[in-house]
Amino acid sequence: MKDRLQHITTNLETPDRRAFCSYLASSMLGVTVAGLVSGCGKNGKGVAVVDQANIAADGSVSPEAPGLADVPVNRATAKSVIYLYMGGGMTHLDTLDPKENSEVMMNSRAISTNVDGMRLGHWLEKTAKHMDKAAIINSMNTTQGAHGPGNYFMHTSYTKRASITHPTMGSWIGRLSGPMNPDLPASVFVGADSVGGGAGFLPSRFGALGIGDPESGLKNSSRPKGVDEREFERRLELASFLDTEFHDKYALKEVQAYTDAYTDALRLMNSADLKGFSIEDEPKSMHELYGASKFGKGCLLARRLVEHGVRFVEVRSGGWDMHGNIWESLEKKMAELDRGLAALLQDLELRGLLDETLIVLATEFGRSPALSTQGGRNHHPRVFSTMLAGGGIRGGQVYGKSDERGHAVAENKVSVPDFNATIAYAMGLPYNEIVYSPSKRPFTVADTGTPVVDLFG
Amino acid sequence: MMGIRSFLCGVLFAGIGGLSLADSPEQKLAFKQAYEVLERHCFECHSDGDKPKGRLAVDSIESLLKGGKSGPALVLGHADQSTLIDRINRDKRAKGHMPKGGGELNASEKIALTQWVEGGAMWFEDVLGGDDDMMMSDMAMSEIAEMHADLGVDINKVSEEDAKFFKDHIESMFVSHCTGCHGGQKQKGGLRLDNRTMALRGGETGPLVVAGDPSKSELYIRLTLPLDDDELMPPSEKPRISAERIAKVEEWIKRGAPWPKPKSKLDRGGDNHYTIFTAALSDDDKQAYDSLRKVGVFIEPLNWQGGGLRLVASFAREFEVEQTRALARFSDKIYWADFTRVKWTPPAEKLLGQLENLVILHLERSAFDDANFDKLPELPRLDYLNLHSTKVTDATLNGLDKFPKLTKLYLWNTKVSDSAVNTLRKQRPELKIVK
Repeated sequence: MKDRLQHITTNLETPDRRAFCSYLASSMLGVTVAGLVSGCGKNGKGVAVVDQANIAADGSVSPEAPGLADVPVNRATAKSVIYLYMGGGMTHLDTLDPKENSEVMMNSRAISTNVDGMRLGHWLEKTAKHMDKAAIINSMNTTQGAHGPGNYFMHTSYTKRASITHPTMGSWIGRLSGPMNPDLPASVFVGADSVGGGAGFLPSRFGALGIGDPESGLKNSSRPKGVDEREFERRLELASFLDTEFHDKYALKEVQAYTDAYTDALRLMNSADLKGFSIEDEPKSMHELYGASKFGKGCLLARRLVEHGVRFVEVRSGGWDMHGNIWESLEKKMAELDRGLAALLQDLELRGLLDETLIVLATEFGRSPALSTQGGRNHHPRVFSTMLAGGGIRGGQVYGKSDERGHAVAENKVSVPDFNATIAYAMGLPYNEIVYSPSKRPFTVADTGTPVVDLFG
Repeated sequence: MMGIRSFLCGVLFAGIGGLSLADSPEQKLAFKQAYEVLERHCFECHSDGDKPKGRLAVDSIESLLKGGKSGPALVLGHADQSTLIDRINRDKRAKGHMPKGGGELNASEKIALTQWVEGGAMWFEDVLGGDDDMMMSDMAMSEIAEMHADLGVDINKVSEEDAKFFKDHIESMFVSHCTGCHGGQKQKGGLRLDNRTMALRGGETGPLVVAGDPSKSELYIRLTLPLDDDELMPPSEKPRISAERIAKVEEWIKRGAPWPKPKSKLDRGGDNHYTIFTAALSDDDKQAYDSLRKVGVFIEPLNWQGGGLRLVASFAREFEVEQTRALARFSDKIYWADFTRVKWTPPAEKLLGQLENLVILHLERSAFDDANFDKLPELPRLDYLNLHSTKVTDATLNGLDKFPKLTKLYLWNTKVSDSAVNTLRKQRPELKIVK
């Protein structure tokens, strides 16, 4: 049995869930359970499922058995995700995909980094010192050219429909992995609620907890003044008594969501982990490192929350929609981004958390190589750039290429669903697992995206 | 079913009369019935996503209105102008008949779709997949409840024992002998037995049962008629129900005909990798697992595909010896352990001490010191050790031989000296040290 275990842990070509469950059960129960663990091996579209015949009587799976070759390799390399979202469409040419000596660069220029051959826009001076930890994707492509739909697509892997709302990545993680810290939500977003951290068709409790201002932390999270613990409990009991009949009568998603929200909020109020939300407890040096911007403070809060067992933290930064006066805007926004991002990379590395924390830098689309008449760059969905660091990503690499002018994808196109499947893959999520909406329509974490496995290892 | 149909007609006429019934339960019911018809007959070829046939998807109101190759499928409020209704009403052999392949909608399905279109084709995403009981009007349910209440039976309270009795003896009988004619597809005599509310309402001849009294209950009477009686159920040409089973029906009715409410079909979260893991545990393991969980010790599989277990002890207040015992059941499969913020008491040391297969160990941000380190066992597979912000000193570095496979060591914010680190770097060049 030990050997078998060894195989599962060390061999990356692990079998699928059914095999795992059957193995787990057999090892824990000491019996054969090939048929017992029904529901473990749901087939997904296009996924080979280990055939029952490949599972031997002792519950072990022969890796050579036919059919297994198609099972996607999937292991969790990350425990948490810090997702930095540049709302409005971050220019790719001036940041992650600079073109040496090209007229499209205008006021930006490429600088070298601590990895030979990797170049960044000169605005990212601090981040450039940490490129050994990061992988850049310069061949992102999206089908959406407007902010709302683009933002939605990036967050959910699906295009917007009027008939249904899709869950965001953080909600999927909450749904499929469950919370790690029992007292805290699985997913939190920091910053303005431009897309919603929405649970979509999933139960509302999987939605992200929103923190508007990182400095004020979690609002309204203590008992009202003059109400002692006993009185508080009495009030809760009364409320719950009054609710019972209504809840029995209307067992609807929305009604349940209210109850869930109450329960979760109460647990949080009494939790020692409430401290995770207050960056006031951080020493001055840390505030100095991350910078005074809202985004920098958001990054600091994200690091704290990850330390407290939150699985997915999104930090949003607005103002990247630079149609006019791009150089002026870049000066301010890039300073914030550079400082916050570099601080995160450095801080997580020092704390030994980068190995298990995936940092994502994402946006809805890139910006045009040609300058607009107002001296800015316009929306550019055909090609753009993102960055992944830590969490099992092999640093110091550039994946994919845009053409000479940064106008279109030249090599290894990565679609938005592919990108999200990559995040899901890092988190060890079953990206092929089908979850049904209440209207019984099938959905997956990243639609039909395929993870870019070359980025790992 | 008859009852509902005439009920719907009422809604239909009210709608035509210009009364607005926005979001009324009746409209929701009409939608749900129409949706079920679409789902049963149309979704296979006309679903958004998989290249719908004729470029028509019928699984959202937008795509219905947008239509396909032959134009919009719906004209709101006008069944006679809607392609959808036209197609289902064409002769089976005629061109353009739907569903393709010789099938045909039955009369009640056609009515359901037609009435829904006439009523404005209201679409309610939220009612889909909900509890069927929610769909019934309050009146219908309270009538049934009253009927039972007269006999001192509360239909909303069903004991576990009764629920099991129903499932084992009654429901299984319905499925094997009755629902072919009284189920989702056909509702002969207006009776439907696969749905609690509809079943209790009964069919054309009245309620299904009179709780407590088999001799007055339609169900029992029809099952026990003489073989040559026209009213006998199942009809004489069908397989007979055994006497034992009929005796169970009698007993069931005497018990008050307890029929448990169906479990809500709302997605309450479903399986996550942790619930799948706990579901596979034996009773003893589950008990051990729960006792750990209670004190904040959390175990989960490292991912969906396995790869051992992750132990998060950092949310625990304080450990007792009994938790050490509970943990022993899982300890050889734990590869990843988080003891950050843990109070270092002897039980905590013992807890950690039994995890011999660890690959990743987090001890950072705790009061862990050299003495605690001394008590750590040899960990032949340990790859990652995090000691940042602990009380360890150079003495700890001397004891690292215990971990021959170590490749990552985190020492930031400790009292470990630079010279000790440099010495270690020379001794073990393969070891990455972050300080």
